[in-house]
Amino acid sequence: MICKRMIVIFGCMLLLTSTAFALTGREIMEKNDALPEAKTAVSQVLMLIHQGSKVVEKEFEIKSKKYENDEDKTLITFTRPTQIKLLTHSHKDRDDDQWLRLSSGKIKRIASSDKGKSFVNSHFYYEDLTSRDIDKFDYTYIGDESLNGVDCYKVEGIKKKDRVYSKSVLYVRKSDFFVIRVDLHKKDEFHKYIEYFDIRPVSGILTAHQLVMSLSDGKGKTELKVNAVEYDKDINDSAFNKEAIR
Amino acid sequence: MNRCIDFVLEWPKMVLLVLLIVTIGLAGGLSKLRFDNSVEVFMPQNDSEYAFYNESKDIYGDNGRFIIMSVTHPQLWSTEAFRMIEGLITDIDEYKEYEKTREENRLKRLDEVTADEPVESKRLLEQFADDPSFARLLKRKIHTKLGDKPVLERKDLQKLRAAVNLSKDLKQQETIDKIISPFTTKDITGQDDTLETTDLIPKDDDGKRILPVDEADFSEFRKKLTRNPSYENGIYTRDPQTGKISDFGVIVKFINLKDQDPISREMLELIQSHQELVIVPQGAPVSNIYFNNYLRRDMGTFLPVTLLAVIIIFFFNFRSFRGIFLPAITLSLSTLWVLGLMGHCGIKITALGISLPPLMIAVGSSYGIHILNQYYNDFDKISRLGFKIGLHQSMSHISTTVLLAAITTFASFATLATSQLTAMHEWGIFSGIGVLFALVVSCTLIPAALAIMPHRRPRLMMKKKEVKKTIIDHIIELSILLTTRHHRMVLLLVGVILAISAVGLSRLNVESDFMQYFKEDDIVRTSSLEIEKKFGGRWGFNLIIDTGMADGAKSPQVLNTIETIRAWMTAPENKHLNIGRTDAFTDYIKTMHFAMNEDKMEYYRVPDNPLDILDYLEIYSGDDNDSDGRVDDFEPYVDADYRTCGLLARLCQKEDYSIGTNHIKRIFGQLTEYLDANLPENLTARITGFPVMNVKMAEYIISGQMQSLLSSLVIIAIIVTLLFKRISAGLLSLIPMSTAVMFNFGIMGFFGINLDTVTSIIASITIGIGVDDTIHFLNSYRHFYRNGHSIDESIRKTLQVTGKAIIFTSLALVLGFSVLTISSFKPVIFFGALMGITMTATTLGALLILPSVIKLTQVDLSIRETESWFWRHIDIGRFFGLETEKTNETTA
Repeated sequence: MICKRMIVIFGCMLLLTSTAFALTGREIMEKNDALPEAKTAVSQVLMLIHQGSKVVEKEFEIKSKKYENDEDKTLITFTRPTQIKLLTHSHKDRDDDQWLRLSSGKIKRIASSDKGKSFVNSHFYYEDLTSRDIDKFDYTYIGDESLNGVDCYKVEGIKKKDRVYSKSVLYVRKSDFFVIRVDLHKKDEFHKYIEYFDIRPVSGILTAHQLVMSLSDGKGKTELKVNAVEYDKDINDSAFNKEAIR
Repeated sequence: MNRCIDFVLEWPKMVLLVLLIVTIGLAGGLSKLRFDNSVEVFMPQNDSEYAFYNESKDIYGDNGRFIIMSVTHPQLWSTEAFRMIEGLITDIDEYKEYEKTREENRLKRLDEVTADEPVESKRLLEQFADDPSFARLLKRKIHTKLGDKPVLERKDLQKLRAAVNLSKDLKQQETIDKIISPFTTKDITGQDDTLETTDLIPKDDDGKRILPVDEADFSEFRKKLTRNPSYENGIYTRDPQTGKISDFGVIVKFINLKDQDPISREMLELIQSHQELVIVPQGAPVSNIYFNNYLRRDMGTFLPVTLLAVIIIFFFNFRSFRGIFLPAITLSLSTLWVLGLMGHCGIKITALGISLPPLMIAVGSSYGIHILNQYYNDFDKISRLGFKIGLHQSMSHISTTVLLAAITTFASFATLATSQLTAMHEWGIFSGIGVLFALVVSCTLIPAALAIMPHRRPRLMMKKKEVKKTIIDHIIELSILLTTRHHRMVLLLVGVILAISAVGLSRLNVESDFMQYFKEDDIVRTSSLEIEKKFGGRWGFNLIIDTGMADGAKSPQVLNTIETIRAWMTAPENKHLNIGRTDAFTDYIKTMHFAMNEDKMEYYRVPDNPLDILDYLEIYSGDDNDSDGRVDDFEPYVDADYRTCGLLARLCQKEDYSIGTNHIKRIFGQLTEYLDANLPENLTARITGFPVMNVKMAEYIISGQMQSLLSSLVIIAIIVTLLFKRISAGLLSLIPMSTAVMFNFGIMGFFGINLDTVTSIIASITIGIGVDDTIHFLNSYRHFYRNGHSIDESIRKTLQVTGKAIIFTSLALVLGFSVLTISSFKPVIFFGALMGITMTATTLGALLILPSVIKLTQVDLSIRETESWFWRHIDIGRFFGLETEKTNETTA
């Protein structure tokens, strides 16, 4: 499950200093995609769901491993308030597989049609947790913009099929091709946006330690705080087996 | 009062000008008048049950008021029928989710294709063939706003654009919260080891529904539809004979709105435009629209018909142009003033409020008759004394009498202002103000108009003098005979009637359900029954169960308790509870448990393991568009902290009688008893919802009725006592009115007429208007008795002198109120008929009962010789000219 999107989320990217001239949208995203990645990552995450005046806390561990065929596997294990586990096998050329394991031990596969659903009642969709394979999108460079004083390329991405979002607008930092914000549109209306904060290197890999998914109407947001992250730790493949999560 | 008359007669043109200016000012309020009969305009804002009802609506949404419709087609299981239903759902859906770009493009395109007018309607619709939903909108607007004109001119197109813009504004407000139907419902299934949320009608990548085309598709759809038990009688219903699916259910829920009227009207118009389908729409928003439409229609009918009725009375009484014209203008102005003022004050017209115009007309005509009668009675005297002085004397006297009548009527009506029911409280205030308006207009307009008109006796009236005896004279003679010779018999008969009325009173039923306002064969009643039978109810109440702790609603114990209560509510042995269908949070948990266990029916229940429930809530993955911490689907059933649960129970007529307020009260009583005995100690429960407001309203009607009845009688008794300086006069005045009120309740009890918000004001009106006859009679009687006539002679002379005026004003009142019997609403029809009866009863009270009691008791009404300090200073009778001999004669 940790894929390009999760790589973006957890900032497993090296700082690049080179700049580009007259790049196309595709080229910008290729540069982003070409950033070195950690082979494995283990993070402890605190999820804060802001709903009206209420804040709901959830905690989980996220474990991911990248494979040579450009596929990856991710296991999210909740520790609070439930013991749900979500296992994702991301594939290069077909729909990702997702399995859900309940506290009682029951396992169910999640149908791909449910990708546009809220993930554990947060403002993230299951789609937000799947890989951003650049080949699955058409990218268009739509201009430059300064975001909080940071110069960015604005790239519009439209998924070729199985769209949950009608389009996304990525703000790619010119200095290092690090994505610092993504605006997500549904039915051609600006719906929500994700921002990356507290970006600093961990084991040499630039990592966002806080990210916030906010609704465009300002009515709610979900904050992810990465409390601990370890890269390139040895993780046995069996940890990502469907049977092993029982 | 004399000074006022001085001024009016001195400056008649200025007075008429001022009246005109006030009329223009207040007439502006007419356009602001709105009709409303929702619970909000009745219930007092400080009522604790009402406050809880509103709190519940804030938490769980407005679950009591929704549009529910059965949708079917002769060939229901055909792609064509499904396409039609899809069209209906798509049209409604546009008001749920606003798509700005699409709507703006549509308007832009409409402007383009209508740039060159005139435009043929047919061609215009053809231009939007690629946008069927918008084409349907245009078609229905052309139908409703332009009467299906084949060719649209510039003005028509302007109207059309305005209507389309209004629809766009409504869409933009996104006032529809949810559409529940087989075409919009998502189901969770766990077959083949895969947990999947599916649309019952699948969609393609662009979100377009893929409709079934062959029998295999329809069979698959039916399988999905019948798989989940909670869908039956919810989104589909079966034919009781064949057991086959016969209708689809569509429920349109609104967000918690103060004014549902605009969107409800738009929805009803939209639904009715889909004539290719057989649709029966129901629910509180629909019945409210019908209600308000009927109110408008009634108002439009009552005014001209009542006016016509009183004009006929004026004609028979005065037989002159000014005799018709002046009172007609008087009552028209006073009616217009009070309605205009209501509009300016933002007071809405309710079923109760539509009685105001006829009441104003009746009261205004009564004052007009009195004043003009005085003018014609004093005609010769005015000629003799000179026009100016004579008219002044005549008008001064009658104005004080009218003032007295207005004060007593005002006092009686104003007692309703103490009612805790907001609509009744407002009715009390505005009927009181209306009486004062009628007083002001009649005491200024008629004298001012007479002052500038030539002093002339109508020819017909001169001819009338030659007629020997009229039917009125015969009635008066009969009254004299009965009261002077057979007074014991009269009183015995009255006693018997009162005893019978008391039996009727004991049978009186209090009702506050608005559905009972409609006639039995009215479309609202018949469609309501149909929907109740098919979908287990058109309205319902909410049982709020409080667990006392956050997340308490996630406990299996709580959820199983809810299931036990639901089972008890709908058990065959509890058929008398008339609860058709219940909905609760448990439906979702049961469905999830069912899906997580390979759709095995034995798992369609609340899981035993609390962790399962927590997990199901985590993975339910519903939208939370308002970000209140709850999945939108759960909002009607749990609060944001999962502390309280709402169990929605729909009421339906299961047995062969309609569910009235008393029945609902009994249901609540039995439910409370059951909960007291069976609810676990850690839980508390409270019932709320629209039916609870009905029960509460009935309680207010009873307490308000007692309160206003007693205070009217006490106030009137005090006023009459002060006027005549005799407690005996005060007590005497109560006899005819109490008899009439008792008689009214007796009739209501025997004929099964409910005491409701409308009929409950009859008592106060009867007392307020009826007291005028009593005062006229007592004043005249005392005059003759004081001048040395015997009791019999005094009664005879009194009846001869005052009887005619009493009968004519009563006729105007009876006819005025009788117009209400052509109303669309049962209570208003009964109100009109009962007011006619009670007005006749108060007239008979003044003509028969009062003189019979005087004759029997030989009560002393003479003026006190030695007056105490109190009576010397509280001499309101002198102010009204009651002690003056001349005045009494002219009163006749």
